[in-house]
Amino acid sequence: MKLRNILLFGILVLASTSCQKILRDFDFQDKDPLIVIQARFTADSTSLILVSRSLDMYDRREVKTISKAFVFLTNDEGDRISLTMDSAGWYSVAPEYLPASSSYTLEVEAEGFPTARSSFYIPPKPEVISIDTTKIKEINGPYAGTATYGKLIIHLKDDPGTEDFYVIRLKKRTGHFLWSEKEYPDTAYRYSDVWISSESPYVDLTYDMYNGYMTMEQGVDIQAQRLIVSDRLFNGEPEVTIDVLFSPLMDDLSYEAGVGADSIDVFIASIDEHFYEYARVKAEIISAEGNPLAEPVTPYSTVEDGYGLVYGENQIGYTVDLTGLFTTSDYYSGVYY
Amino acid sequence: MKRILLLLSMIAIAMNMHAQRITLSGMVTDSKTGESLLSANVYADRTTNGTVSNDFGFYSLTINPGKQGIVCSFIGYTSQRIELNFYKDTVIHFQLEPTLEIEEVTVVNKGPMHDVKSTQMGAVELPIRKIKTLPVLLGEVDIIKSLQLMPGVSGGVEGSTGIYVRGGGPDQNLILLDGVPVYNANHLFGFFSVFNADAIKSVTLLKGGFPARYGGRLSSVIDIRMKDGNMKQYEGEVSIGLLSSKAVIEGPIWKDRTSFIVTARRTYLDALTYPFQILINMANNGAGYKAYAGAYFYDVNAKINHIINDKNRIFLSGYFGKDEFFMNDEYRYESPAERFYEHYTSEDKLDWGNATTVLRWNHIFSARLFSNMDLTYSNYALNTGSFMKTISSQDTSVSSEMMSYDYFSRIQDMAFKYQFEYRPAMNHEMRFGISNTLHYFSPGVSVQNFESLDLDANLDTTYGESNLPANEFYAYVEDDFSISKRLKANLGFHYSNFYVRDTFYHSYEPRISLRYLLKDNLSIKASYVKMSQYLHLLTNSTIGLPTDLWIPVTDRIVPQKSWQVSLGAVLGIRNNYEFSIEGYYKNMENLTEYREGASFTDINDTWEALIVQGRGWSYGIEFFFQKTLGKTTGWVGYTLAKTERQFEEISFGRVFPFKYDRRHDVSVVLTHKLNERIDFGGTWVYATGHAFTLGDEFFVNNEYYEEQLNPAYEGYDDYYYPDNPEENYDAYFEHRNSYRMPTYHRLDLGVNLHKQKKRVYQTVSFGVYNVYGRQNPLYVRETMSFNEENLRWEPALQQLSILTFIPYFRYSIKF
Repeated sequence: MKLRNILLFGILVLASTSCQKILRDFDFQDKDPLIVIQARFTADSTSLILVSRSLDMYDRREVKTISKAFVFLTNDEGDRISLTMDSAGWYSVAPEYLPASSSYTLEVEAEGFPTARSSFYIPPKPEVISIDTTKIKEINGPYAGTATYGKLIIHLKDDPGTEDFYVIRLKKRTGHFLWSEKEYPDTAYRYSDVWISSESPYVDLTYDMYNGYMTMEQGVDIQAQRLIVSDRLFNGEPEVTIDVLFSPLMDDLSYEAGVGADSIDVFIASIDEHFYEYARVKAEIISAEGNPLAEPVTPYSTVEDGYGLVYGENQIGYTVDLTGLFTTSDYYSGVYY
Repeated sequence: MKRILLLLSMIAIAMNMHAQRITLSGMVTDSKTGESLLSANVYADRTTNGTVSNDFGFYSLTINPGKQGIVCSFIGYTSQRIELNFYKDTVIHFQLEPTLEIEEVTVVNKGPMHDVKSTQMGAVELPIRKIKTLPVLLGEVDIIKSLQLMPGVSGGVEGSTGIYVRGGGPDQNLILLDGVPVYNANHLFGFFSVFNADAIKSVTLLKGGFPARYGGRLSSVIDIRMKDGNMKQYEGEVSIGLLSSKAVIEGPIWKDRTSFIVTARRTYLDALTYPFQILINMANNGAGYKAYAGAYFYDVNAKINHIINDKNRIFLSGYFGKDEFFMNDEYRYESPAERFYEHYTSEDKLDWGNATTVLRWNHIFSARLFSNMDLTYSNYALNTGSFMKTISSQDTSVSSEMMSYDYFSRIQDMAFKYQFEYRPAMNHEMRFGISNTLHYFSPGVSVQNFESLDLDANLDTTYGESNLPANEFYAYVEDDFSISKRLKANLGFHYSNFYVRDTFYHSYEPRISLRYLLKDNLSIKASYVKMSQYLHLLTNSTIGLPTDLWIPVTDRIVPQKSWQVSLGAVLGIRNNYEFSIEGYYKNMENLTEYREGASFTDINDTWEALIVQGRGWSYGIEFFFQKTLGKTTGWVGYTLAKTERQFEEISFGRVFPFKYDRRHDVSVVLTHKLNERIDFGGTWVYATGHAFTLGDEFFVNNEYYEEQLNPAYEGYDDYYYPDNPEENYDAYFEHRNSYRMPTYHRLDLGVNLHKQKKRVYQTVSFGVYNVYGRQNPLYVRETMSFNEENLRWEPALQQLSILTFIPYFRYSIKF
């Protein structure tokens, strides 16, 4: 009995002496904040640049923009322009300074910070050969067991000599009166973002508002709001076909189920490699979140002596008429969002 | 032609000279037990000519004929001297008498002067007696933890038996138990090693300057030899501690011819907590809920040793050990009124274990040629399983669902090894041999089952490669010889190859060690070794678990390679003190790591898809000062080192510190023998904190601003975009392991009280691990903490510490 008491005492000691504490004086090595740049450059419209500063772990309450920064843009021929500030921390540049198929360097100088620098490339618009539309009813596939769904077959030209990256997203429109429009005119949605999927083996990554970036796995039903394609999987081919599956229903609010879209806007954007790498790494970070056994994933930043994401994009849009493609019975053959 | 004649003449002269020499050979054993003594010194006392007994107690010494005094010595034993007029090869068996002052033995068996004179660098021998006097965690004497106190050797996380030698990974240690590799040397999630000190005769650690007979790992060799068993009389020992109890029994089956030894150990954490679990379940009985959980380990060592005759001896030894962790629950609900019944059961388990066996044959061909043949089998298996079953009924309808998930990883080895030791001439000690191992790997197999009565569904899926055979072969030759009176060399060559999946790898590895004697008690040494490794351990860098996977090289994963140069000096002072200094640089190629974001739980990927390969390097300098004799003995070790890694696919190819890179590592070990009844010991360790990954700069990410940056996203579905930037902060870090946990240090103190009554020898050991309660970090993570001043939750860093002020107790009785 005495021995048992000793043993129990030992176990209690082990359990009770484990402890947690908050480290108040952890040595963060006095790292100085750096400039953060978030920017998307396009040849079609005004490009915006947000300049702020990074925050330490205890200080992340509000974004600290930098208003008195000098922001310069240099093209690959060495021409340099200074960008003007529109509002606190926001700078802009007109599209005429940003012709496509060119590389640029963005530099941000601000007092008390090292000069932050990022290069980017504005790719040419994607060359779309055709977009075909069809409707499919089948048991297998992402919409299995539910409704009729639509399929866009996008034929793209791709330069086999270069690495190219694309983003595909859809918007649906309807001329139908929506119940929500009357009830809540401020939040009426004639447009609806579309949950899409693909069986194409070339789709690498997806993005949606709930899960962020995710890796696309073949044979796994992943629906998202954007499909991200790398031509690493088909490089060398001058043409490629990518299918995009979607529900023809307006899918924002459940009480509008059965309302079909009249047309669908297809946006296909060429993006530079920075964005693709950012999305790829972000998908790994998201996948590892919550798993204490997962290896840490190093975040991707395009900015030297700073942080953030600066990338180029060139988008082309099409409207595909869905009139007559779907019948009312298609809309009511199931409810799928 | 003249040159040929001259060469033939020289050979004839040399042979003639050789013919004039004679060879003494024999065994060195303990006179009380018949146990062979390893590394005992045997030398002709009027010359510098000497040797040491080999791993089986055999020695061979070539001397000039005539009257010679031959001395055999071994620390802890009374030396023997024989003076005879030697005129032909002679067999002399030395049976050494243990001294009464055996507790005064410390770090090396062979004494400081042996280290001064040997060509071997980076070697440490720890006598078991010494290990047993040191304070230990929960009273469990642990060989591996004792090795962690040596310079150049880092431990893993707090309290664990992880061992990281000169910046190498945990897989780069060749841990041999009686010559058989042990793949996972951990019990109880790494808090204890599998080696029961009661069964062990000797422990040798090599950190560099590896002789050609060793291969297959990059960073160290830990050669552990089991006792042979007492040839003279029966002996036993029973020991009871806080965590485990153990017993050892040994004795002669046939006196002076056949002996055995059996040791067994088991923990009783599960048995101790079981009554409490019954009470809790009884309290929950009304709710229909029951749960049982427990963890335990056991291990058994056994050996039979038979002397067939003076020239032949056989051994059969084995180790069997297993750890198991289990958690079972059960839930019942019955409602006669609703005519409803439900029964849910779940079982989760994690177990792992090693089994090794070796059949060994020692044969003495002649006084100059000794051979050892091993046939070995080893098996390491890890199993995790989860099972869940639900049966429910409502009125007359019954539904049932069963899900199970099993994951296992296994390595089986069958090996043949034949080694020779040959003394062709005075001052030449040659070794050569071959080995062939057939490996069977199951690097990580998942089996999922699902059955449902309702859905009429049945799923049975297996992922992973269940059997991957491979063959590993090596051959070596080495010669330890004197070039001059002061200069001695050990030159060797190790060749190995590995065949797997129709892919063939091979490696040529030169091994060079040189020693130059500046004075009789001072030498400088240098070595160069090249190593290769065909096995990788996929280990998760965040925590240490038995779920680490052993994987072979394949057609896609290439062998690890390294080269290491060392330069050092050894000074012996009055046969009692030794000071050594050793610097090294080690370069490692094709190291493996999990790719970023991956873990062993990613069952959808093959294990090869989970890993990436890169390089690493480590350099440092080690200082070691020890006192080997007297009432007070011990050592002080200090290591200044730096270890880094670079992988193309980790942190975008940036160089990052190895997790167990420790810039400073200090250990102080002291034992004092007050009298025959009391001795006490203390250790103090200090080390730079482990490297870990922490986001240190934060900014609102691109997704938050996307709508503003891209007008095409504006105007619809505003609710998609979050309003609160706090939910969209990205944490940035430049590379993995960019920060250090707080510095690690602790003091352990222990006392051993001995009492002898007739043939019964009792020892009570007690002490405290981490006497001053230092809260050393197990891990540091980001969390939210409530700030009492401004009454809000704020980000903070939280540290978890375990093992602060842990007393221990152990009672043992030897008869």
